[in-house]
Amino acid sequence: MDWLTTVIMTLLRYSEPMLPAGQRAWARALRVEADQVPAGWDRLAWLAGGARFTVREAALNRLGYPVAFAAAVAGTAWTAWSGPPGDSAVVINRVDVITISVILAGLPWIVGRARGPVADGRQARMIRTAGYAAILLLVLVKTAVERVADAVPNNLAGSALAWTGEIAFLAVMAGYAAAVLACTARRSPAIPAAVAIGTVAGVTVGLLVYALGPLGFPLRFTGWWPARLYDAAMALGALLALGAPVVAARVAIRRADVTMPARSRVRPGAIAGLCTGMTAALVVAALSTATIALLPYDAGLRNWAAGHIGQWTPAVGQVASVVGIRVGYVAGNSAFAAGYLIVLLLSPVAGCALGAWAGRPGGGAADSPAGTAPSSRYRVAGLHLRYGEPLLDAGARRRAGVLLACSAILVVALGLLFAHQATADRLDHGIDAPVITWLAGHPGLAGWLAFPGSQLPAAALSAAMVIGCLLTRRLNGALLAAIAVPAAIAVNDGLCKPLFHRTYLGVLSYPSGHTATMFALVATLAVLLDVPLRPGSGRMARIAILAAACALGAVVAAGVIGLRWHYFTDTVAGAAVGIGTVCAIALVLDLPTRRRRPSVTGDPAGG
Amino acid sequence: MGHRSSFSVQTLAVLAELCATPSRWRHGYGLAKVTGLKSGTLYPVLVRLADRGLVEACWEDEQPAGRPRRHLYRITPEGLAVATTALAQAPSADDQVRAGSRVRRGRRVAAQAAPWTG
Repeated sequence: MDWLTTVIMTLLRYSEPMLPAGQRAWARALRVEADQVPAGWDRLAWLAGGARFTVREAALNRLGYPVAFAAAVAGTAWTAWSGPPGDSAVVINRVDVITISVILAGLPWIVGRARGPVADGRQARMIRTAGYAAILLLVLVKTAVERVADAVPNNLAGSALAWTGEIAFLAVMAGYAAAVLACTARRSPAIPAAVAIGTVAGVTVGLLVYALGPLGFPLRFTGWWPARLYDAAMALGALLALGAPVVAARVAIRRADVTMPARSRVRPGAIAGLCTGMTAALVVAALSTATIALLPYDAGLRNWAAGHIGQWTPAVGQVASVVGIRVGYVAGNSAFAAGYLIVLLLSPVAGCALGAWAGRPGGGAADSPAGTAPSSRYRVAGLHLRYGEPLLDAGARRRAGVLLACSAILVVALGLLFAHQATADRLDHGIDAPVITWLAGHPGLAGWLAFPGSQLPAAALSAAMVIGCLLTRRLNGALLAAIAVPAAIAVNDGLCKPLFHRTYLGVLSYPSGHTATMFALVATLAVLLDVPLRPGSGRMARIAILAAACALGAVVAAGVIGLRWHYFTDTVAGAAVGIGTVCAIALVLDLPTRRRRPSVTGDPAGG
Repeated sequence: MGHRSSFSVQTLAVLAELCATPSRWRHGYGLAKVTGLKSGTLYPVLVRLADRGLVEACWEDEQPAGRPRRHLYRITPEGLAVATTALAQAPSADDQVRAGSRVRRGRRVAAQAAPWTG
């Protein structure tokens, strides 16, 4: 028996280096203790327990996870590699799989150098594994959709747009993987409770959003009661989706430490919100894309989709309009749904901003020390942030109120005038006809003119403004920039289009979503430039920037008229929706700062 | 920090034992003897408790004569608070595991007050 004890002892000693650094001391302690255990069966049993502990830890960490990862990558590659002959998506799919495999394999090494290996404990490993699995699943189902969407005759792989979308998708996936790794690393800036709570909230929101629109579009019900119930569920779902990052942030802050000083509560709040947004987007994108991928193969699903989504006809060719997972698609009379890439891009930003907002000093997350000004600084991911001065000074607030009222009156008045109309009236015809004629003489130009108002550029511009605000330490500005476009699209496509039901060539057209998007961006820029970086600086430059932005908005409007997507009045109402939505958001975001500092009546430097 | 009482009976047994002498450093074999747990069960429990900050661990400072330095464990103040709550919610769990392990291993459980240290 002694020889067996010696053999196990030796094995344990040499297997210790295979364990993660945090577990080595435990394995060594177990081995050292064996000397105190009476020789014979007892010692053997003690060492056997040590062997079980070591094998479980070492096998899982050194072999289990890499083998599982390799198997998952191999399975994804095997499924995605082939395709029908002539399908240009094959090239895209292969590039996707190879790139994502390299990224997922290499990132742990890079993140490990900066933030250390995976944190001890089961939770960090579970979140890391689930995050990787979700990313691989999304890539897998995306390749399946691409194979159908890009098939002949919808050959899109050669276009610059397709490749731009691919690069953006891969960059976003790399960002997700890096965030998952950083949040679960040993020297993570994130509090584990914030990550866990954010992840759980995100999964809940993701499943809820998926249940409400499995293909990314509102469902259609024929009966009066089912339709009303569904509308109510949608409203509740929207509230929950917006509230989840806030609730997750508050819970995380409460769980993190009740004695935490008020200004350091922003970070767990922001991280919980970020995790909520990331997880929800990943869950929705993966599940919905998987459902889209199943459409060509499942007749039952196609019939169900045909019955519940607009005037969509269940044919394989129609799936092509999905154009991968990137752009969303036009479902019958419905308007553009937000593409999943946009969701993947904006959801974490919005979640992070909402979470930080929930954790801001004086945000009611917990008792804050008296006298903490709303502009006091705190740190988020290494940046010193503050909630920000009010977005609008007293004068601008009045102007915003008037603009909001005018926009609402304009949209409703024009909407009532043109409700259920399917042709252009005299005014529209007078303006549309020359634009259409002129642009018809320049093939392709209209598409380029309308391009800035489409989802990808709008998301990029929003992201740029969010980053700009974070760099200039304006949390409320970042929040405005993050939610302006999604809110404008929601008001435009979710509320106005179905309400007024004006159509152009059979598609809902009033108000124009492209124009609403563009003018939401213009209005956001105007609000952000209202408080200059330095008092009185660059007034002319700001006016020039705004004039250029307005001109770009007009160009987009001309583009959608030229494409025969919208009447002129649609673009006017679209601009009103964009501007009005941003004014409303800015006024709401200023409420906390105004409530806390009623004496502030105006910014002497306000422009 | 609101730890939920989601401890297994084995974990509760370890916590009960560490709470009995909160200021003393204990070692693994001693804990195994008292709780009746096998090493393969005890150590993962200790690792998890240490991960959650409920137990602190360190190596013996001085090299004792005739044996290698031991790894020692002690309950943290936070661990004491959490364990007290958890044990109050499941007062019989500790007894159950002791009774079970007594039957299983046919070994008398050492009294909690046994004045041994690590």
